[in-house]
Amino acid sequence: MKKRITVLWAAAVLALLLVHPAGRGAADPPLAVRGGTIITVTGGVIENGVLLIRGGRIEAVGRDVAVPPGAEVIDAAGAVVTPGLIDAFTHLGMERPEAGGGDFDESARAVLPQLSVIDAIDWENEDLPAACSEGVTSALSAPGEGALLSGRSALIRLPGAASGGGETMRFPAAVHANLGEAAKLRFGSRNRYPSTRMGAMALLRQTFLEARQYLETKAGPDRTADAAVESLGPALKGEIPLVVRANRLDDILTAVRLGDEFGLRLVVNHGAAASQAASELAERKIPVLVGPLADFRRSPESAADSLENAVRLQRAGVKIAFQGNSGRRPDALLEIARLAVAHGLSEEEAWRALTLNPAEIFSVAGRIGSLEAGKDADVVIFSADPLRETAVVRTVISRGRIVFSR
Amino acid sequence: MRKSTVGLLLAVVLGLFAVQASGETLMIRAKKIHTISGAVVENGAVLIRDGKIAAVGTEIVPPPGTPVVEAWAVTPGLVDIHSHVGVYSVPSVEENSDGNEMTNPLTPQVRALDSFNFEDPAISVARAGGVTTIVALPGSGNVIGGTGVSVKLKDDRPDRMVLQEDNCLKMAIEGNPIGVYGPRKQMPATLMAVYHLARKAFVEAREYEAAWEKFEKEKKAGKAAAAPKRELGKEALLKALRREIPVHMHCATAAEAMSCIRLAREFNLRLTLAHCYWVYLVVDELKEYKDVAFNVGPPMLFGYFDNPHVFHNAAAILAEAGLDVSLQTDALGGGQQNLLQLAVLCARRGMKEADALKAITLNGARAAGLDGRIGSLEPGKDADLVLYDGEPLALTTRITQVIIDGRVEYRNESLKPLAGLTAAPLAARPLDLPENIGAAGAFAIRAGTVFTLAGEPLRDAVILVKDGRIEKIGRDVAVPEGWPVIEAGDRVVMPGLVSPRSHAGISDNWKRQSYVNETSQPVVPELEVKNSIEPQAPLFSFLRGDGITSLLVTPGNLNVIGGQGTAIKSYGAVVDRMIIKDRAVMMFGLGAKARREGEMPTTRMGIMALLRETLVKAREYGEKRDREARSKKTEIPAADLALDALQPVLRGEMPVMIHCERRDDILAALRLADEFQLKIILDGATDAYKVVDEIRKRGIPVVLEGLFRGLGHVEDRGFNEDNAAVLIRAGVTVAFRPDEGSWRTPAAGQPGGEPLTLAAFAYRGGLTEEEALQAVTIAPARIAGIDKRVGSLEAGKDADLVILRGHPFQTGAIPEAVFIDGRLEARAQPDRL
Repeated sequence: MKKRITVLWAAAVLALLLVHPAGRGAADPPLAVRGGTIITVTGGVIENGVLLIRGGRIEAVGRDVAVPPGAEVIDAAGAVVTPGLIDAFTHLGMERPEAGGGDFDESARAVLPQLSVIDAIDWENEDLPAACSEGVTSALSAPGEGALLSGRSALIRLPGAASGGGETMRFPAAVHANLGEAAKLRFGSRNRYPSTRMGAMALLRQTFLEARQYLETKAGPDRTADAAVESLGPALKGEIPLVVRANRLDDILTAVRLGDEFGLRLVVNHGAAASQAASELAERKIPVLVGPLADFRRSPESAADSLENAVRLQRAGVKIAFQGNSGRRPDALLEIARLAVAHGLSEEEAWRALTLNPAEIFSVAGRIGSLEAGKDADVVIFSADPLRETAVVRTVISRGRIVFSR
Repeated sequence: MRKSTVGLLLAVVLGLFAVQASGETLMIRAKKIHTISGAVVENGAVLIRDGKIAAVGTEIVPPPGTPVVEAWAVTPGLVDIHSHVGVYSVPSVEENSDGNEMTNPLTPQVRALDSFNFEDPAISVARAGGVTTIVALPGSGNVIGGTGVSVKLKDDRPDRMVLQEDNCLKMAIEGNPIGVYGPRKQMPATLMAVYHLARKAFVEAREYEAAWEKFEKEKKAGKAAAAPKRELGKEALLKALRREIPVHMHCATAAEAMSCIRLAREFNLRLTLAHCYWVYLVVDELKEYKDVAFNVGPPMLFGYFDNPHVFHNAAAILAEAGLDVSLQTDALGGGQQNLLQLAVLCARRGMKEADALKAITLNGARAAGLDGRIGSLEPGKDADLVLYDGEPLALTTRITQVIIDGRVEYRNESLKPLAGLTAAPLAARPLDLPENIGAAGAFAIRAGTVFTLAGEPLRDAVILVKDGRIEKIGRDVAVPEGWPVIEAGDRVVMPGLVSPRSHAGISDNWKRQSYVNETSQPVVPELEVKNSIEPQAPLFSFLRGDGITSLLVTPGNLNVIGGQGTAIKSYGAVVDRMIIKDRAVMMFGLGAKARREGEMPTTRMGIMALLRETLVKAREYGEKRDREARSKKTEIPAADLALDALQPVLRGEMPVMIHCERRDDILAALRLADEFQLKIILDGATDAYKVVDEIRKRGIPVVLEGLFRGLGHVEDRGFNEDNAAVLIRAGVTVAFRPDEGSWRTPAAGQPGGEPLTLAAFAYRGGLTEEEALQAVTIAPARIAGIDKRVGSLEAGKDADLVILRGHPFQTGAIPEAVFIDGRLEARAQPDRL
């Protein structure tokens, strides 16, 4: 009798440990993904290898990695194993306008870089596990296009269908600006500044000018703290990028001009005409967040949108990442990558744009973005090559825990 | 000196002259090279190397292997320092409107550079018109609108197109800012407030400068000082105060111009006055201000309250007074390509050719601070040139190539030889008219060339006019005893011009109201324009002066069914005596303009459904009335005036003029005509060339308008200069509708404003002389149903005729005398500018 109780207790403790929401601890048995095609991104493609996960991290990945005894094994034969996908631009976690809210578009004022998505992300929002179940383990959750300087984004880890697991990995990840139509039409219709492209740029320059003055003279006795101006400090110091939504060629070049004037690390968001400015962008190492499909040729400024933009940019030496804006459509991220591949982008570059590139752009590549020893164990197992064939997500592992399983 | 030394010296000297091509070279040879800065070089050449002009002259020896291009004439690339290309780009939708930051009357901080769409389709069209450099400006909605950007219109990377990021400070001391801010209950609501705001801005900029100087001083002295907040707007104003950039001030009246000058004097600004519509009224005062640059346009001719029936050539008056004058198109959307035409119009109305050419090249360049690089053909300047196949200011000349920075940026690929012209020289002196010819009941005209438009042109012909009719016309016609004779010498006589569609007398009344569109509801067939035409409107004087003797006046384009038009003579005291044919057409409108908001029709399908519904109702109504009338029942359905008005249309007796531009709208018009067996006329018809066979086989005539508009509206996408030629070749009757301007800025001062210039350009575009002249005489007469009386010079027809100074396609051949019903109704005043 005592033995059975002990065993029961042991089993209960073990069970508790197994379903502990806080990631796989060092005490947990390791998880091994065996077989299939492992796309590491940084170490090539490994056929029929093993990916060994322990303590929430990747311990080893290779052809001859031994599976330790007691490890939970996932058979990935015939499957494709990739790093967790990183959606480079979304509003994930924030209530969508169609859903009765609209928490990511503060359009009352034009200059609001001090806004923080952290104050709007609802970790129980159902878009999060929905996207996660499509392989998106991390995403940039960002403010919208309603304002000229719309706020600061966060790079988040998405919670899975099994509750919990969400995490803010980096905040602020970037500060966001919108050039072109959206902000100027919204403000213009209310006769508010800025109502033109030139007004938008002048307001941006004036704001950064004040932010720089503030940075330089903060020590002075007469400086009054101004949240907007203060929040631009990290961007002026190059610690975080300025992500600018710009589509028309002149808007993209205006963004470049702004970056040059203030020494900013720039990222172009969407960039319909970006391939025409490829040399300017490549020279300055300015990446482009290509997508989302929902915006494709949405309005006059995006007339240059092309499904070949990704391959053109990549061949011209511009770093690209994909954005699916996986709110409404959780599979939107893979879809844009698929189309890019169909229109000339190599699979290798497509995977990079889905994983390592966004990680590098938002400075989280030390933790995620590839299948390498030491990085967080964010892994997706697809039933087939999702970029070339019809495939479904079989398993999603986030920080070493299975958060979705079909 | 020893022979060998001489030889050596000679070799060295020759070697220096035989320049080895170190870069790309190109030589252009031409009969006439307009250097602008110096004399015209005849039978000479321009040598280009590495994007610059290397030499201009008659003795140039090009390096071996240099390609040579021939041209009839060459000018520098044309310069427009007042444009809105790029900041209001095509298509003209809200998303592309970035020229006016009308959220604050003072926005010196904004830069047109940041709004400029380098891919504006208007750029390549402008380039083909010879315009090589523009200054794109913020608009005039603000008192201080921001800074302008100078741009070369070449097909290159944006950074290589921009010449100066901040070329000038744009301002407006005029009514426009009042129109924007007054209704919002914001300053300025008056012109004095406009002036005050401008002044205040400069005063505050000076204070900003002083605050920074104080700070710098204190910092240098080691004191703890807080820097003033940097303000981009004030820094832009300081650039103007320090005379680093000129100020480009929009003004219209003479008083506004003087206010601008006063302000510029107070703050020591470099000043260009823009538009300057009525500045010529104080030309004597302006002679004191030789340092001010005058940038006139976009209209070139102006009338005013002092005498509304007389117009003046503002640019010519200012140039005659020795002032610095340039011309502007003020283009947004389409129209930038018409800069050359503005110079042509100025030359046509009295401006010296040299002044006109300078006004579209060097003067603008100088005002914009760019004359170190562009504006004239001088060694060292940028190789921006325009090549022509004739005199640049001739109506029939075509641009063959445009070169920017030494590279061919445009080549005219469709240079077919022009058709032959009846030779007719330009008369040297003004026409002499016998006294009282205006009141003579009968008189004769003897002229060197008569275009009857009813056969071959007649040479040395005589026209007998009696009781308002042409009695006889021919070569050997004897003049009856005692009849006064107009000796027109070598001049040309042609039929009075007919405008196939006009809003004269309804477009602009004394209260500045327009009667053109009954916008209260979409379907108003019962309305007749005849009941709103004002014959005293000054516009009629100008149209007569342009040679237009009859017009088809119609409602506008904003209604699905807009009402009935009437054909009238262009002179009369009361409209009833002017009517040639009443109820001449019914007006229908299709396409985007006829769409409404909030009520049907908001869509194209709504427009067609409403039309069909109305016509079906009208047909049923008509059939019912017929039945009732036949059955002699006492009870006849109550008259519905609207449906009554449509009965002649349904019977095919009254033609329908349908305004439609896009291909699908034209096809919809044809579908409607087929369905209801309507006799129709297509008006606008931008895309007609795309469906020419469908039009031709139905025998439908076409009225073309906006021939100089180019791109701009979404419906203009298919704009094609060859439209007229394609249609006429296929046998379609085509008439040209001239733009009409306003009584303050008459049509002859704008491109496309005169039927004769339209005909000349159509000829240049490939029509024969006869086809082009028909399109402004007999063809519109046929379309309006008045060809039995007007449109050609034949015995029995009305004596509506025009005496021209020369061949109608010559720039200088303005109408010198215009007769309507045998009365002299217009006379050119050639010595008045």
